[in-house]
Amino acid sequence: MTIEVLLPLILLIIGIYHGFMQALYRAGVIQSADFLGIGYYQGLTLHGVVNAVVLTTFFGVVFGHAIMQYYLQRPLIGWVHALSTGLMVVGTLTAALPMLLGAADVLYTFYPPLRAHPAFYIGAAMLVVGSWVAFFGWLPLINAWRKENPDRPLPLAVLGMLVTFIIWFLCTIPLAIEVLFMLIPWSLGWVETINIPLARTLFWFFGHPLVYFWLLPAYVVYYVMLPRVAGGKLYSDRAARLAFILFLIFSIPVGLHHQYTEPGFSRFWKAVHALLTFAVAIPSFMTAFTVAASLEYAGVRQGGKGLFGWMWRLPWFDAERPLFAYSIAGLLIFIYGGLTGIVNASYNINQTIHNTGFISGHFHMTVGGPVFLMILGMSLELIRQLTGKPIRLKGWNVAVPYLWILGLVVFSTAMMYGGLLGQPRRTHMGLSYLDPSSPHFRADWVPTAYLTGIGATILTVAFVIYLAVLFSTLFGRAEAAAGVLSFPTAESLHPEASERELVNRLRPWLVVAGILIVVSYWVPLRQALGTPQGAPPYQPDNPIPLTQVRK
Amino acid sequence: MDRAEKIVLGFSIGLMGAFFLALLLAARLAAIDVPPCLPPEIRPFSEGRVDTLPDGSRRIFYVARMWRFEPEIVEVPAGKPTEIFLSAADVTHGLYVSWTNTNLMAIPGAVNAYTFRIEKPGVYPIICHEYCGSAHQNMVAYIVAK
Repeated sequence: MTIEVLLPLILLIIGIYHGFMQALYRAGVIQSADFLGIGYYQGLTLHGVVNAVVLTTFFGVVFGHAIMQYYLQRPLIGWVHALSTGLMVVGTLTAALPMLLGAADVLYTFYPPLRAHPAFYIGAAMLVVGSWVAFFGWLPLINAWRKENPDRPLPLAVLGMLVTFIIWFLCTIPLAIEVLFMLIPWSLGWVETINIPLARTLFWFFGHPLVYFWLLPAYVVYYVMLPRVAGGKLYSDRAARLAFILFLIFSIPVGLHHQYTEPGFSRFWKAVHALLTFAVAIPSFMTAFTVAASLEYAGVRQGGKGLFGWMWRLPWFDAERPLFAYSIAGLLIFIYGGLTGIVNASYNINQTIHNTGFISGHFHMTVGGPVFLMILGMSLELIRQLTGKPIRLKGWNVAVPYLWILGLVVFSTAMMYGGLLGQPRRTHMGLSYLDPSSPHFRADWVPTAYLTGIGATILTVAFVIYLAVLFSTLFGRAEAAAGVLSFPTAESLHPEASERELVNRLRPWLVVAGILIVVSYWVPLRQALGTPQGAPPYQPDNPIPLTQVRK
Repeated sequence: MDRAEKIVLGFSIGLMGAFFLALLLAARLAAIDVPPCLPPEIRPFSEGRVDTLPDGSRRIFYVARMWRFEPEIVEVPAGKPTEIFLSAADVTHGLYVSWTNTNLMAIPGAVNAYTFRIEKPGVYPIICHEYCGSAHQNMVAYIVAK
């Protein structure tokens, strides 16, 4: 399992490097189309795919493996584990090749009619299928545990990861349809044209639940481990379970909120998806309360007095408990990230900020905030347990998350302010808007673009410190037995929900989720299917369709 | 669940509900809305054009293509509604009229539409805000409000 933790972290060096470069290009510090042979849009594709797809999927799977093994006290099924890892590794390398060769400059959303080399789509599909295999491998373990423990509810961590992967499995079905039946045959030239609104709808059918697949493993840590790490208890086991159930119901039927500014869907259905997106904010509000209440309990138990005194009793900078720092930093930045997300979801308010820097500013505080910090912190913890090597440079390690959120506040505030001034996202501004000699130069965008660069520099420094911690740990000497998994697990302060309660049953909620998905997508999908014209493939550097170029 | 949790749950539902109603009110009363769904008879077009309506206001048919908008410069009367229809000739593009709520996706195969009004005379750059290939950053047009 060490390889699955390490491979995405190594690739992350490429991903973060290109993130840093984006900020420099955008600020006009680099005024050329490429740097060291890699173009802006190629680097942007690598940044998105490595950080948001490869890293998160590998972490979700490996964290799930660890949770299942520890909480169910059962080994993984060997061949399923091997098959899943093999598919994911081969898929990642298959997709990486065209990206590195510049044959897939389509960004991580790979919107057609821009076409990537077929290997890009095939590799991505293998990565996803590999994660499915891992998930299917857990189900027999869960069933066996249930048979042995008929009168106990599933451990909270197992329920959380199960919900995470049910969401992942459901939402990757439309993605698989888009990739397997539309993009791959079309990129190979077997079909001339595909229906673009349909492809986009299928993509966002997947693309928003995807963010909960990123986020929920972090929630598992917040609920199950963080209260214990802080020296307290989980305020309420029942509320935690309810939050996961609400995510199961509401995280999928919301994708149209990425398509508010598109033609082809009626306003009514856009508004329905807006309402459902607001509904999926509710479990996050609940989580904010439950986690804060759990931490207050921990602080009070350790002698904190008064309304805020408990806060100072928490182990903010405790080098022996880095998971606290990684968790709390992520939670703090998520207040800002979550609230700006509500802005994006807000139907007509989106007209002001759609596809501007506001969006990138927002999601760097979600997937680049709590999600990313949890991946860094928990990966290090998994490496410590899997190798038996104690974490080195411990003091530096707890500085990483705080430095990271400092960088994020600067980066995202600047990015979002720029967005409100009309700065587009994912655009090489250094070649036009931020180049004083260009006719398109926008002097009003200069301050925010530079501030974004300063934020990105702080973020990069934080990551370099993390790499120093990671490698000095890896090259250190083992002091404990390798491969013994053990996670801090909080008891519940309020009585736990019994196994018969509705929050501990998945089937009825799956039915509700299914109904909501069908109702919310039935008409939009039909509207997309009614598109009068298909589109042929285009290379990103040529306005003539590839089908004509080939002839 | 204990009382505090029920309060939090109720409060968050109420808050999000109130937000949602406010958005619908803005759509209804202030006419700030998202683009509509046009009937399928309105087919994608491949030539840009500007029509002047009897009251002097403009109807602009924009074609977004790699890597320009057609028409590139359009004069519109300030204070009067301007109607936009938008078609994509090749890949996906975006059309964002600076300092306004006019923010549209140009999607191959479908026609987008929006109506807006510029009150203050001036030059308003139109930015393509969806990645559309290697020269995406140069895709700019202008609206001149007089």
